[in-house]
Amino acid sequence: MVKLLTIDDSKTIRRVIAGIGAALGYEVLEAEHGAAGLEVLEQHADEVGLILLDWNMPGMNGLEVLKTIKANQNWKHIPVMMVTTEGEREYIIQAIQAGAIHYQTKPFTQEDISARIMEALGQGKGRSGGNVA
Amino acid sequence: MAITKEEFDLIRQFVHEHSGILVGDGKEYLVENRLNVILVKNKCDNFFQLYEKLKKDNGALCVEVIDAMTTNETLWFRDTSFFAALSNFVIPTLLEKALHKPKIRIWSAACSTGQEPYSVAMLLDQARSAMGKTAPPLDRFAILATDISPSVLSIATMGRYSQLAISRGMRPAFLERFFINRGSYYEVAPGIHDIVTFKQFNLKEDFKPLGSFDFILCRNVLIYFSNELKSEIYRKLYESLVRDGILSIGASESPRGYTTVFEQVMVEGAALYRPSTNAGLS
Amino acid sequence: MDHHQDRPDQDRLVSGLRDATIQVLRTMAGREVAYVGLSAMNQFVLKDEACGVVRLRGSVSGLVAISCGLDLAQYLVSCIIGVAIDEIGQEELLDGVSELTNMICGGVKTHLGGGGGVELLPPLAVVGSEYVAQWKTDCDTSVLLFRVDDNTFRVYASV
Ligand SMILES: C[S@@+](CC[C@H](N)C(=O)[O-])C[C@H]1O[C@@H](n2cnc3c(N)ncnc32)[C@H](O)[C@@H]1O
Repeated sequence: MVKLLTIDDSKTIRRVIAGIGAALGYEVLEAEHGAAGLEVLEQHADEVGLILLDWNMPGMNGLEVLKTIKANQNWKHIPVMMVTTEGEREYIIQAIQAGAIHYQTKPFTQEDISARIMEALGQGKGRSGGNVA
Repeated sequence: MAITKEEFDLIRQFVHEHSGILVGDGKEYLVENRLNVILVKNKCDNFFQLYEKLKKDNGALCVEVIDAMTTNETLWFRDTSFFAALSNFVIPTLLEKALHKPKIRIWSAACSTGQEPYSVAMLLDQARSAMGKTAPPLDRFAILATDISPSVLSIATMGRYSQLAISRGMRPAFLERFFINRGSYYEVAPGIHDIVTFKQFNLKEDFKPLGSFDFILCRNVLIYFSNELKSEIYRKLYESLVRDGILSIGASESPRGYTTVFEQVMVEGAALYRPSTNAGLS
Repeated sequence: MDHHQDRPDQDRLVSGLRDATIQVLRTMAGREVAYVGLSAMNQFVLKDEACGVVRLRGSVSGLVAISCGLDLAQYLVSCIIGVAIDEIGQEELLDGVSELTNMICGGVKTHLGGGGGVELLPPLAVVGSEYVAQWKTDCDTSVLLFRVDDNTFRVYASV
């Protein structure tokens, strides 16, 4: 079964995402910082269908985590969506160039993020399918 | 590098042309927030380039931009007085009608993630059970639920909601009765799900192919449109209603100034509308 | 800098904070808030039962904070994660208040001219009744007042 992985230092956000993911029918794995997220990937890379990644975290920031994921042969196919309060275009450009497939700013509505998750997993109906990064 | 005034005007005109959504003056930040990602993904350096691409595309990119510009917030049983009017007036009227009409058609015209049409279906079923043996069967009712945004529709179609989505207005008694608790989420029960059909539909299009309806909910969507489009949609809504049909719009909306074809009925503090040529409904 | 003349930065910050607060509480917590108005203090003092503080550093520097009563904080956090109020323990509350602060202040960064010149340091959250917090600052503090249902929610900015 496809799982989602949320890497965010805020437990609140992890719980919100876990609830939404569950409603969409996906189990959600949680990691509270980048290194923990990479550890989860070591174990579960073949089950993870989408990673939701925060930017500002203690230790590695989200961009560094993203680059690490994209540099790893076993992980680089997993789509990554940034979920962050950083809304400036410079950040978006860096993330998309580093291989993120979507960039969701906080705050978000439940409807918004659910829609983006479905889209990222290629489940949106009538959509253009995967977006080219 | 922020959006320029010219770019802002081009983009908002494009959005308006394709969806009716009006982006007001001073809402540059809205366009930036919502379209920056699409801009970057499409390798555009500025909004003008994105606009040029949009003009040529008209397919997937256009859908994506419009999707991003929609506001999809919604609640279960949104507006207490409206749902009181629904339970105490609209639903009984429709049930009564269903006793001698084979199909009662209801349309939720901007359904977002489905809370609105499912709420109506649940109220219908609840009122039916209260009627006992004389009640018309639930499949006498067909609810069509449409929205322009394909991504919210895919969620509506699934009919699965997180605890968080449920907490936004769902009543405990209804939760118990009309949902299956799947542990980490709640799923709309099959009986309710079965009477709702979801379909992508742009309110700028011709309504005729959809057929006519006994009850239309067009709530909290016209607020995003220009005055001309509001008038046009009120006219099309009128044509889509059966003679004794009922229209419901958002609590902060009014057809006044856009059309004279509806007359207002106040029920439980909520305004409902019916075709004004119709004299006999009470 | 003259604090009593027109301060476009401060004005932009205030309107940015107002919009961000309304948006954060409505999208994340599903609550409608009403903006009541603005006042100023010549000190930066917090004493509500729940508060969160974020420091801004870079081309604009200063402090942004939120504060409200414990009941409201618990209620808002319960709305955000979608659980009953009695399931909100201290840990959830602290994390929820931090994240609220983070999102409200994050929304403001973009309003401050952008360009990536401002950095937000990680939020500090305080809950409990026995404290007064003060920040030494030589600029005035703007205080934005909001009503959420029947409670008061405050947002402070000193930059
Ligand atoms: C704020 S929601 C309202 C949802 C629900 N009716 C309610 O009142 O809670 C507005 C919805 O209108 C949809 N919408 C916007 N423009 C539209 C159009 N031109 N045609 C159809 N739907 C549209 C959006 O996608 C969004 O889901």
